[in-house]
Amino acid sequence: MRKKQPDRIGYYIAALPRFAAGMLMLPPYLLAEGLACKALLAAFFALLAVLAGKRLRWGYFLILVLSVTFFHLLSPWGRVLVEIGPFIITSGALENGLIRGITLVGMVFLSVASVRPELELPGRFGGLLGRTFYYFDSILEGKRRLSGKNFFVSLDELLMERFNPDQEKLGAGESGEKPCLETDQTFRGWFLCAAAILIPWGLWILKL
Amino acid sequence: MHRLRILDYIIFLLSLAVVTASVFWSASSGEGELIAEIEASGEVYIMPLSRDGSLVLKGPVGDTRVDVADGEVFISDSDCRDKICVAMGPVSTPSSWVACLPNRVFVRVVAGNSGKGTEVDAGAF
Amino acid sequence: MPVRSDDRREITAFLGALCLFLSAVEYLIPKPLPFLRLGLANLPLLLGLRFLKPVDLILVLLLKVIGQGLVNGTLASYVFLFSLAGSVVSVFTMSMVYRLGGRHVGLVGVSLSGALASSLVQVALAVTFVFGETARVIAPFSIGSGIVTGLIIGVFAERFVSSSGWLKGIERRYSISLEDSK
Repeated sequence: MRKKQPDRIGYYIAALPRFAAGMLMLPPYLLAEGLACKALLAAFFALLAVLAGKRLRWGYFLILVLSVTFFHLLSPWGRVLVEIGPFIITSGALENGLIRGITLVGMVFLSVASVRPELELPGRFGGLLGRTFYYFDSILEGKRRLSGKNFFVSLDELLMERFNPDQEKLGAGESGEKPCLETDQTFRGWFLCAAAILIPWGLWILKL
Repeated sequence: MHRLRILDYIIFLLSLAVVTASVFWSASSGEGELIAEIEASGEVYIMPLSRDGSLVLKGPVGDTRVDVADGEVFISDSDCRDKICVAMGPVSTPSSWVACLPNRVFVRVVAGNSGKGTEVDAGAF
Repeated sequence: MPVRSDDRREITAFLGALCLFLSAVEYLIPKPLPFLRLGLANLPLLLGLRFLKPVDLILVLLLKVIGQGLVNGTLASYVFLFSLAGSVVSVFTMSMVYRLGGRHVGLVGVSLSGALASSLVQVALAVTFVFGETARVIAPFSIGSGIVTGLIIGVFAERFVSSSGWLKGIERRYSISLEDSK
C-alpha cells in the first residue's frame, strides 16, 4: 500500500449507514437515462470516492469507458457523424457506448466510496469473515518473509509461522474482532447521508 | 515435480479447441447484417434491422418517424399530406426502399459492411 | 486435551485469508495489460479441493469473493457479480473434473478446466452486459490468457502440494477434526 489518504467520510459516518446510503443512491443512478445526468452523477460518486481516501486508477477507468464506447461504435446506430474508412461514428452508438461505460465506472466509484472493510456482515458467515480478516492482517504482518526467488519455500515458512497446524489450539488467542476504527455516527453524519442520497434522486426526478 | 497425467493432456487439447472455436465465433459477428440507410436533410442515418428502435427526422415539411421492428423498417408517421410513405408499409430485403418524397426522407435497405453471406434476394426486384 | 471443535472453521477462515493475501501479492506484481490477472487467489481453492468438504470449499470461495469485495470496495458493483459468477463456475467445474478424473487427472488439468470455464463465463458476461455483441473479438484473447494463467496456477499448485509441509499438516489436522465431529 502506498501513501494512505485519510477517509474523510469515515469521520462522520459509520460503516453500515454508509453502505446503506450507497445502496440507496444506486437505483436512481441506474434508472437515469440521459448522458449528462449519468456523467454528473458518476463525477459526484468519483468525488465521494476521493473524499473516502481511495486512490482511483484513472487510467484504468478511462480505458474502460473508451473501450466500451469503441465496441458500441462498431455497431452503428443513428446519425452518421464521421466516416473514417470502414469505421463509422454514429450519434446513437456513441451516446449508448458512453452511457454504458460511464454507468459501469460510476457504479465502481459509488461502491468504492460506500464499502469499508469494517462493514460487518450478520450471522455465522459474518463471524467467519471476521476470522478471515483477522488472519489476513496476521499474514500481512509477516509478508516481508516472502521472497520472489524462493517463493514457495518462503510462503510455506510464513504460513507455518502464522498458522501452525501442530499447535494445541489452532489460530489461538484473538477473538477475531477487527481493529476498532469505527467512528460513531454523528448528527452531522446523518445529515450528510441524507443530503448525498437526495442528489441522485433529485436529479433523476427532475430529468424525468 | 509431478508428472502430467492423461486427462491433463486431454483438457489441454480441449482448451486449445475452445480457443480455436472462439476465433471462429468472434469472426462471425455482424456478418451479412442488413441495415437501413436513411437520408434526410443532407444527413445520413443508420439503423440495423436487427435492433428495434425509432428515429424522428426533420425535413422541409415537418417530422418523419422511421421505425425498425421485427427485422423490418417502415415509416410509421410523417407530416406530409398524402401519407404515401406510411402506406408503403415495411421493407426488409436488400435494395428495397421506402421514401417520403415531400419531406425528402429516403430509406433504403442495404447489406452490412461485410456483405459476405448475404445473397441478393431475387424477390426484391 | 486440545480443543478441536473449531478446527474446521479456523482452517476454512485461514484459507479464505490466504486467498486475500495472495490477491494482495498479485496486486504488487506488474502486469503487461490492466485487464490481465494471474489469479493467484485461486490457489487456496485448488488446494482446498483436495481435502475440504464441499460445504467448506464453498465457504472459502465466498470468503474470497466477498472479502475481496470488501477490501477493494467493489462489493456493491458489477465487478463483484462478475467475480462471483466466474469463481462459482470455476470451482464447480474443478470439483467435477477432480471427482470424475480421479487419479487420471492432476492439478494442472483441474486448474486449466476451472480457468477455461471461468473465462468463458467472463466473456459471456462482458459481451452481454459491458461491451455488446461486437466485442466477440476479445473472446480468443480472454480465453487464451485464461488458459495460460490456469496452466501457471496449476503448476504452482503441484509444486506447492509436493513441497509444502504446512499443507500436509493442515490436511492432517482437518481430517482429524472431521473424525472428531462424527
